Amino acid sequence: MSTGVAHDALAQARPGTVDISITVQSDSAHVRQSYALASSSSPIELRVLTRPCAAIENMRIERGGAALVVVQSRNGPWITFRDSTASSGDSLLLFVRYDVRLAGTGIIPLVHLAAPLARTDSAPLGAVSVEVRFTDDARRVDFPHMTRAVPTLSAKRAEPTEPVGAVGASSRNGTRQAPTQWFARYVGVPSFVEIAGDSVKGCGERAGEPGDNGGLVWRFCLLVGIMVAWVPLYLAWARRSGESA
Amino acid sequence: MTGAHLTAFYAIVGAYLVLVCGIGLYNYRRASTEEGFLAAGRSLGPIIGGATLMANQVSAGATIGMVGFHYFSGISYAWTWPLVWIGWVVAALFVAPKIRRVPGLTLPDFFAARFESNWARGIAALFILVVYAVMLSAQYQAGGLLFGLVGRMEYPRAVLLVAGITTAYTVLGGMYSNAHVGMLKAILLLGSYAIAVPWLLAHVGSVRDIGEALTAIDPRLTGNWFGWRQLIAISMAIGLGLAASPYEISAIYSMQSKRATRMAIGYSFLFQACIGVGVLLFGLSMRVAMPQLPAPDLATPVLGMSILPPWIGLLVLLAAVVTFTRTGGAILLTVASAVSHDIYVKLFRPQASERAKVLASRLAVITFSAIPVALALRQFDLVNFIVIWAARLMVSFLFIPVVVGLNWRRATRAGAIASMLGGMTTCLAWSRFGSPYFLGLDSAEAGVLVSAAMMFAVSLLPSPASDATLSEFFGDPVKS
Repeated sequence: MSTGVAHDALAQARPGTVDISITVQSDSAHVRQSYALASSSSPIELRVLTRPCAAIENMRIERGGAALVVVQSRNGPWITFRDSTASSGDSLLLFVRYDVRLAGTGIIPLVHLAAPLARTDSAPLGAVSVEVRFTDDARRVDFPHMTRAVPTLSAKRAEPTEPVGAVGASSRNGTRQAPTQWFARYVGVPSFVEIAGDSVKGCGERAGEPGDNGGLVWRFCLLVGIMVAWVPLYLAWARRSGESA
Repeated sequence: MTGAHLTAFYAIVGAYLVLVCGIGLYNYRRASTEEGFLAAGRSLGPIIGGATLMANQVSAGATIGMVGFHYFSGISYAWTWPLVWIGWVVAALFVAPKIRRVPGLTLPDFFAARFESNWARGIAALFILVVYAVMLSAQYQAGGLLFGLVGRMEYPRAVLLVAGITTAYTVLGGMYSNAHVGMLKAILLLGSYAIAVPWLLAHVGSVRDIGEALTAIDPRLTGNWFGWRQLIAISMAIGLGLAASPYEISAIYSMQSKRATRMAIGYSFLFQACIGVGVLLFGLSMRVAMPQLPAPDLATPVLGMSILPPWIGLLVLLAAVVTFTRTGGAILLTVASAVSHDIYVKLFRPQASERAKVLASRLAVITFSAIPVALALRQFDLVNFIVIWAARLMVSFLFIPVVVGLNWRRATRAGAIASMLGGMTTCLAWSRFGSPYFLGLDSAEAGVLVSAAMMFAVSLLPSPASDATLSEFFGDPVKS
C-alpha cells in the first residue's frame, strides 16, 4: 500500500486565513467570508454543502473589489464555484457574501475552499475564525461547538488577557453591540452552522429525490451485521470448547 | 476550545493521571515479584482479560489513526476489523491453549523453551526492542498531535508529556496496572462513543445523508478506496501478527486458564465491534462536518475540541489519551520484559533476586521510553501507517515460528532462527524494493511465505528437539 494517498491530500494545503461572520435574523442569515490566501497557480475553487430548507441566495464572490465570474456546478448535495483565472501577486484577497433562508431548519451552510488551509505557527488553533451574531438573545449555536462571547465594553482590553476563542476576535471596532455573539476558531471551515431551537420546527421538504449514497448504507449494515453475528457465535463456541477441554 | 475548557481538559487529564498512579500504587505491592509485575500473577478473568486484549489492540492507531483513515479514505478500511478477527481465531485455536502449557512470562521464554536455545530467545528479544520502538513512537506521535492541538502545547513538549504519563504508571504497577487501566479504557471508550456518535449523527445526518455527501466528494469514500487485495494484506499483517504478538502473548500468560483466555478473546470482539463502529462513524461524519482538515490525523482532536459539546468532547479526548497511554504502557511492559527478563536475567544474571529482577524491569521501562520519543519527534508518517508497517514486520518475524513451533513437532531451533531472520529480511527488502505488490505479493505476505519455507526446509535438516521438550509441548514423546 502506498502512503501517497494521504500525502497527496496533505500536499494540497494552502497557506491562508478565513474570517467568517454570520448575522442571524428571525428567518434568514447573512454570511460574509473574507479569505486571505497565499498566491497559487491553482485556480480558486469554493464548495458548499446544501441542506434541505436552507436555500442559498444572492451569492456574490469578489476578488480585489471586483465581482468574480465563476462557473457553478452541482454534484449531489455539493455545489462548486470554480474560477478559472490564475491569481497574480503574492497574496489573494477574496470576499464571499450570501444569504440563507432558514425556513425552519436553523442550518446555515458555509462556503469553503475545496483545499485545506495549511496550519501555521501564527495561528496554532486554526486559520479559520467563525463569528455568529443574533439579533435576539434567545438563540444559540448548536453545531459545531462555539463559545458565547462575554459582553465587555472594550474588546481591545479583553483580547490580550482572554484566551483565543473566548471572545469575538472580529469585534475589532472595540465595542460589542450585538445582544448575543458566538465565536470559535477552527483548523478548517465547518460545512455548516446549526442554530438551536429552529430545527425543532421541522422541515417539511427534502432536497429532492434521495441521492446516490454509493452503497454506504448496505455496506454499513453488512459490516455491523457481521460483527453483531460474530460475537455471540464465537462466545458460544468458546464456552462449549472450554467446557469440553 | 476556550480557556475554561482547556482548564477542564488539563484537569481531567490530571485526574486520570492521579487515578492511574493510584492504580499503580495499589498494585505496587502485588507487583513485587517478577510474575506479578509481568503477568499479573496469572489472575485475569474473561472480562478484564477481554478488556486487556482489546486495550492492547485498540491503540492510537485506532482512535486517532483509523478515524483519520476513515476521514480520507471512507468506509472500506473498516472491513479490516472482522478480517483481523480471523487472526484472533488463529490465536484462540492454535496459540493460546498451547502456549500456556509451559510456564513462561514472555514470548522469548517460549522460544527458549520450545527451541532449546538462548540464541532464539536473544534474537526475539532484540527484535521486540526494535519493532516496539517504532510501535511506541506511533502512540507518542498521536499523543503529541492531540496535546499539541488541544492543549496548545509545542509538539515536542506534548510528546514528552505523553511519554511521561505512560512511563509513570507502567513503572508503578506493571501488568496489574495495565489490566485495570485496560478496563478503564474499555469503559471510557464505550461510554464516550455511546454518547458522542448519536449526537454527531443527529446533527450531521443519517448514514444515508453522509453517504450522499461522501459519494459526491469521491465515490471511493463509500465504496472501495482500499481494494480487497490491500485490505486482506493489511488485515493479515495485523491479525496474524496479533496471534503471535508479544504483548498479546504476555496478556495470555496473565489469564487464569485456557477457558478464560478463549472467553476473553470473545469479550474483546464485543469491545472491538462497538469501538470499530464508533471510529468509522467519527471519521465519516467528520469528513462531512469539516471536509478540508489540514491532516487526517487531526480528525479526532478536532472532533473533541471543536465539534462536540465541551463535556462530550472532553470524554472523547480523554478516551484517546487513555488509548495511547495504555497501549504505550503495554508496549513498554513487553519491552521491559525483553530487556530485564530475557536479556538481563536469562542471559546474564540467572541468579538475580526477585527484587533485582523487578528493579531491572522498572529501569528498562524508564530507559526504553526515551528511544521512541526521538522517533515520534520526526513524525515519519500518519499514525496508522506506522502501526501497519510495524505489524508487517511483526507477522513476518514471529507468526510462523510461534504457530508452527506450537503445532509441529519437527520444528527445530535452526528452523526457527532461519524462519525469523528470513521472514524479517524478506519483509524489509520487499518494503524497500518491491512495494506494493512485487510478484503479486505484499511485503508481509512475502515475509510470511519465506518464513514458512525456511522453517519447514531447515527444520527437516537437523535432528528434532529433545523428547523432554516435545513431551512438554505436545503431551507425549515424539514418535519418528
